[in-house]
Amino acid sequence: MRGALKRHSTPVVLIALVTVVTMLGALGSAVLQTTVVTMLINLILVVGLYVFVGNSGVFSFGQIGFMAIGAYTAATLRIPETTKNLLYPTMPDVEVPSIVATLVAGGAAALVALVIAVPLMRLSGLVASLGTFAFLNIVYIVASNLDEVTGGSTGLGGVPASTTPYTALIWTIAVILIAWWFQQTSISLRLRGSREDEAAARAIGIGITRERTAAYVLSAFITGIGGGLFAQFYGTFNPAAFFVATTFATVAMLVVGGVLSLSGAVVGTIFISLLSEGLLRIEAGWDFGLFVFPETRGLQQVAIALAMLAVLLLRPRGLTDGEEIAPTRIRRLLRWRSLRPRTMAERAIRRLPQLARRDAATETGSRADTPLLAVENLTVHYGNVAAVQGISLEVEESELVGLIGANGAGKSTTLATIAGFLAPASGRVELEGRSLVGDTPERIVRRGVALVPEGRHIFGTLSVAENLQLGTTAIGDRGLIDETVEDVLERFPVLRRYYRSSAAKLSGGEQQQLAIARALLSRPRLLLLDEPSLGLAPLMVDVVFDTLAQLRDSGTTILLVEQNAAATVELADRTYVLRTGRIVTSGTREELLASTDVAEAYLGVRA
Amino acid sequence: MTEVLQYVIDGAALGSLYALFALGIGLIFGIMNLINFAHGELVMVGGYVLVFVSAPSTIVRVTLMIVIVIVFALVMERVAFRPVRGARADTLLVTSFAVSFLLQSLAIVLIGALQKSVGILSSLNESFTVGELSIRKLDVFTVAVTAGLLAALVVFLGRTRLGVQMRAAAEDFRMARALGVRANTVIATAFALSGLLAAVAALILVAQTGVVSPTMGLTVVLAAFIATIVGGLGSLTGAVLGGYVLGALTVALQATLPLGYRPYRDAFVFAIVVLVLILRPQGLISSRAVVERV
Repeated sequence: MRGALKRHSTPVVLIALVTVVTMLGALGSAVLQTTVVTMLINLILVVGLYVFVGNSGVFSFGQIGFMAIGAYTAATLRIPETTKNLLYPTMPDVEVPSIVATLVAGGAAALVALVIAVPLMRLSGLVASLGTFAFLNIVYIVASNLDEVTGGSTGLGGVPASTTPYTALIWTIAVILIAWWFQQTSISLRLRGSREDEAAARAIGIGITRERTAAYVLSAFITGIGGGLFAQFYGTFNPAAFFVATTFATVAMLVVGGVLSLSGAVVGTIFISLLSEGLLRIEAGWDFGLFVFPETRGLQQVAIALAMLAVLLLRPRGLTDGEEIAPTRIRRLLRWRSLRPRTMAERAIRRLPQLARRDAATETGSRADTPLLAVENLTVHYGNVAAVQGISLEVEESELVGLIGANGAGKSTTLATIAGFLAPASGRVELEGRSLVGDTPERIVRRGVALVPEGRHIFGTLSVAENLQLGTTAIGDRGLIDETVEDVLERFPVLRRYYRSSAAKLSGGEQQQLAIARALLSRPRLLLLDEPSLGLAPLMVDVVFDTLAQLRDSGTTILLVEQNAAATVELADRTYVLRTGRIVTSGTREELLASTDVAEAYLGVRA
Repeated sequence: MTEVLQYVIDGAALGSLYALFALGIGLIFGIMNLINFAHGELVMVGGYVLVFVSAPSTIVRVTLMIVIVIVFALVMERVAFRPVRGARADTLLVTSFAVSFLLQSLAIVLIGALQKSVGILSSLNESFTVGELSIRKLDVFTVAVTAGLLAALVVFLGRTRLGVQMRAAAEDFRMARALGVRANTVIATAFALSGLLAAVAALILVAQTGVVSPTMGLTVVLAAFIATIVGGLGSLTGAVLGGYVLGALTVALQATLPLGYRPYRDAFVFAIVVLVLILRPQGLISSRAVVERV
């Protein structure tokens, strides 16, 4: 029992929160009661949105269309016969209790969702988002024109107002429990797994289409209920209520609270509801003693949009930071660390010590014996995982230095950090004594460090000539370009042969040559090569290593990362051996071969 | 026969406009994975500039409008999109949705919710006749200007250094940077180009309808989204093709739907598009880049 309570403490906390806010409001004036019911209806809509968006990671701009379907359905089932005869003669003469009408409203929305999910959920996530926006527009067009059913653009009236703060609260609690239940199911688990990498999930055959459809239909059901309650609260409404403004309001609530958690949906709705309630009063032209605010239309929307942008820019995972509220976590949530802005501001803060370090580096940079590249105590994290832990290495002018180690040892991470794609947690990277840390990749290549990444990364849709032209981007002196291209083509004659054809047509080995040639075109002082032999036929591996030997002989400085340890040690002046983020040993070919461990573990030689 | 030709001209003109919308969205998506909801508001800004700026000659007025919209696009990138650059595509999409709604709301607060009428290029609303065919000058203008812009864009992307850099960045942004392509430069260029496309679209749209309103951007992005879905996300050729297919489909339905169903024309267009998707979920032109990115 205690275990169950602990596991399900989040919905308990959320329901308690919603109940307290509702009770506070329900005790107040009639105006305040309206505010509370509006908030609860919004809560249902936002939780509905969350069930799809939070689980699938696909944004929907069309859920308010389901709200419309729910509202019109409930209205049709609830408007009394006398009113129908008078105003809406085309409507069927049915009248059911409020609770039935609300449930049917949800069911009708779910049914429509099931139908449109067939084409929509087969699309990639982003395109599906665009499709949902089209759906919103279809519903709006139909609602505005289908007079016999929807009353056209004037809308419907005369729905008995049966939604009270208490009925709304009960529905809200039910909806929170449904959403919580759903995210414990294996469907939700699979969806959340696919959220990070849709392509990969589809590739390994996780059929996310069915899971997405399930979430979509449940989301529509909840949203339809929200629409049904909406109709039974306001009594009168028209299609304008179910268009972009409402869509935006619900999306904003979810984003502000945090898309990734049910708590985010609840917290965001309460937050924005309070904000807009305050603003509505200002809009109405309130007299705050000294200050008199004039009546301003749209101010509320401006403020919500600004609040949403502020959250997106400063705390992209929302107020809840993507986590569920639970008593054990509340203390952690309130701590300064987790309230810290995560993007721009954080980056700026992180850079401060680095800037300081750069100054220090500049001072020491005048030493005569400075190596071309010096890496000192470099540590790099991916999230909480340290991929590189305090490694130090040096590359002297005209040296070919190898960096070997198993998969995941941190080789590529080291190169990517030197090239400026990753920010180190600590440590120095210096080119001739001047720090590279904090510089952008495009500036680092201009300072003379060129990277040939793993997998070659040829621009396949561009011609060989265009690929090579891009290589010269970093050359400041335009006069040098032609000469450099000529030099490089001299070295790689095969590229001249395919000069005008698209680079995708080259073989793997030729693409690798193109990648190296392209990097050489920036006239680098240091060439960083990441696994140049990976995935090549044995014959091509020899060609690539021959090329590297030639480059070394002509004085090019190279830092070579390879899994092909034996060939690397053979070729390199010195080699560093990396294991789980640390350098375990280093030395020349003779020194490494003399060390029994290294020879056995990495070079396949028994001493 | 004459009737069919008439529809072809209508479809070409409407398709051109849609192609301009879709291309404005497609250019930025290609470079930075952002589907820009706020593209419609660039068109809106262009419309309001035409409302509020009067100049002695139409050329000056239009030039001024184009410059202002381009500057606006650049500011939008700098203020709203640079801070979230590199975020997940859905975060970028939602950010642009917020920017779009913010600009709409600001227009309502500052200018008012009611539409404003404006006269520009009104002489082009006249028609001339070729045989039995009556052709509106504005349609010819629309098709010609769009063709000119497309040709200029093809030359820019194919022949200039910056154009090649943009294509490279669209294919593999990280690698382009590793070669020294400046991220800020290519992204700013993409926004400037999309501003230019939005400005021209604003000119044509306002010349056609004669009105500007805070919510006019919705029509723009909606058409652009549908065209993008049809053409395939991530392909510029696809965007243009999608625009023309959408234009043709709209005109065809306008011509063939019974009178009572005409108000639902756009709903039918979307429904047909959605049905097409069952057969071709990738759109007409599938892009490798999207498979990698999404």
